[in-house]
Amino acid sequence: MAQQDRIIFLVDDDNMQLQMIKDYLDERFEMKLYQYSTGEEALANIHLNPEIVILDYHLMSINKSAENGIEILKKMKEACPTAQVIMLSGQDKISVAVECMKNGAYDYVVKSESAFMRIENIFNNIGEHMKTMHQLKIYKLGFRILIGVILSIVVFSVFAVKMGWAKSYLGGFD
Amino acid sequence: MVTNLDFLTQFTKGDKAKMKKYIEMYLDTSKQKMEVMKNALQNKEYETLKVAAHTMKSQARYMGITSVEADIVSVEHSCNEQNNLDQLPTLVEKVNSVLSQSITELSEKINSL
Repeated sequence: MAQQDRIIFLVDDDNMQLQMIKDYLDERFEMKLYQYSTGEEALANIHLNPEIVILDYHLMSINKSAENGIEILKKMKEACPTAQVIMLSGQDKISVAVECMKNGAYDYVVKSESAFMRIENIFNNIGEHMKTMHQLKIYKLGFRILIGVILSIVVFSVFAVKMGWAKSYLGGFD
Repeated sequence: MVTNLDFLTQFTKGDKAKMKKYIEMYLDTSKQKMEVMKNALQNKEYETLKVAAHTMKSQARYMGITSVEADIVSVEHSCNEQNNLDQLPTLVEKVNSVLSQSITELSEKINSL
């Protein structure tokens, strides 16, 4: 996937956090970034097939009826299993991190001064991961083609032998 | 001084327009959340109080307001566990006092940018 094709969703109801992450990523990556203040909005646009979703764990500070990040994470992984979801949280709690990872999050980042650099590193890791997966797909395809060619040669050889046998058999009658 | 803009300066690479933008966002949010926390405490709406305190925690970090973090965590914890609720008025007052101080400092800073 070309860098400019990367579609990123950023879901956070904290406007300042949203803007800071957007500015930081804009300076470092070529991508199309979509911002949402609720998970419901992000889910409504999941057909855009995001490669990475940065999702806040707490999404109820403005809209109290908004669903929590963990519920959105579950629905997102169901609707778009290939999306790599990075969970963001103000809480440095191992239980929250474990809960996120169990539900399919790629990583968990605590909102702090080092969060931006962590997100950048995760982006690079996901990029490498996607590249490896893409290469693996190519290798698998190449392997299938090779097996197909070998099988075709074997089938053709058997057929040729049989044809040869049939020819000499027929020739025997001549 | 309760604020320290070292991180923000580094984050924006000294870009004054960006610094101003983030400080303005912080000022808007903190004024609003201070009011929310006060009202929520009065009305014993502990979930609202917890959410407002939670929002301020990360924003305060970016403005280098380290002195308020422990009190914000205590507010969140008390609201969440519904214990030590009698200590909440003191804690919220302490948090709001630091946030007020930060608003004064950052309002002055924004004028000098």
